Amino acid sequence: MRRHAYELFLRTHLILSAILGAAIWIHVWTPQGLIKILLITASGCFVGSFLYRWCVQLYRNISPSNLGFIRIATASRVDDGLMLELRLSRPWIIEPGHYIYLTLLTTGALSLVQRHPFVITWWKNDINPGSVYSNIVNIMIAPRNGWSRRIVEHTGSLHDTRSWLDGPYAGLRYDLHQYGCVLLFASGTGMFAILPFVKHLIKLTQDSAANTRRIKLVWHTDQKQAITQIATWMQDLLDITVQDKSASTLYAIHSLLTAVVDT
Amino acid sequence: MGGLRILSCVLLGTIALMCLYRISLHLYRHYYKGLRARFFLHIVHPRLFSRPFLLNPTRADTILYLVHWTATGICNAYNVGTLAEAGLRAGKIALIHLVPLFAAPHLSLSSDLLGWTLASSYRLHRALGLMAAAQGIFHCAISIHAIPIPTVVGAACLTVYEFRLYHC
Repeated sequence: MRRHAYELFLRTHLILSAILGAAIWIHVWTPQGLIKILLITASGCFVGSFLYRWCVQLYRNISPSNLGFIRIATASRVDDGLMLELRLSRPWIIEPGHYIYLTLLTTGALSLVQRHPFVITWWKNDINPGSVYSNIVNIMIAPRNGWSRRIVEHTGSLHDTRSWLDGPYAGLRYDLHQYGCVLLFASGTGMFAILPFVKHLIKLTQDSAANTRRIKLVWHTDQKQAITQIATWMQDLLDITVQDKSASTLYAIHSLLTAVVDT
Repeated sequence: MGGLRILSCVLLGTIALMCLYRISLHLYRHYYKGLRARFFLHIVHPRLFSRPFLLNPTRADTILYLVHWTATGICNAYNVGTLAEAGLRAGKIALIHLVPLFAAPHLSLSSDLLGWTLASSYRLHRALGLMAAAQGIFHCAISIHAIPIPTVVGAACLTVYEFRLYHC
């Protein structure tokens, strides 16, 4: 039920929490020691975390030098899904597993109040490719019901759309670099969540900061455009490894497409 | 005499700490990986019931829930003489459980700052919310003579509604 009524649950949960918080303030605000300390602590932390989050968001989303917001550089359909390339107003340090909450600042009034989490699948810096900071991030949106389906259907109108990002937040934390051989499995669009780990592993291996010598990647998919997209990124990774002649690393990436179905 | 006690405490305490460190290191090197794997295999990952059920927490979650509810129950009952005191204690415990919920409303941010996974934050949020709701209902039920019955019934209905939405 929660899956089908996620938005309803989220809104009602927030409204009920606010009502509960106000009711508690009215009900228990007395000069007693413990209760007063608890209320002040909770309120202080609430206000502090709220201000911190919005200050960070404002800093990351709006850049006075560029006079702009984060914008969608390209929006392209990848099979059923939508691949968004976002040009950041300030460069970020991205790590594998990072996810962001995306709000589109146009495409209808309802879009402004909707924020949805997406894993960052790819990142790069097109101005200074060697930098650890990235000014372009890619996210993959799989159409569900409602907002995601609507924006996937209106892919053409998304170019140069202003966006508001909350994050990046650390999601999955795996220290894969401590293993000599890393075996990864993915199916369908799950590949887009695994790819950042492969990229990070290769970067650490180049820097001689990983024990990893072999990466095996098994991907089961029937999505042709996704294969093309992933193959492009994979080729970028392999090109980097070829250029890295100084490192005495030995690693291999085996991608195995086990069920490519003609449609 | 006081100086001798301090000297002996510091000296023997240091030696005891060094021994403890050596033993811990030995245990970590020889048994940690195996124990960790068994712990995850038998405690962390398996669900309580083999088939999907309305509530099917993992064994680790079940143990933590039991510890939490037992400890809170002891706090509810410890040194309580009257029913009114029990109600007041329940209200304070509910408030204590609500503090982290209101202090960290954005779970992604709190899990990021504390170094937890988002799933762990969700589990903690759920456990604290359930306990706060239970204590709050108990507090209302005890003080029912001072609060209109529809308020108590409404609070219980809202709790059940949230619980159902969150778990189903």
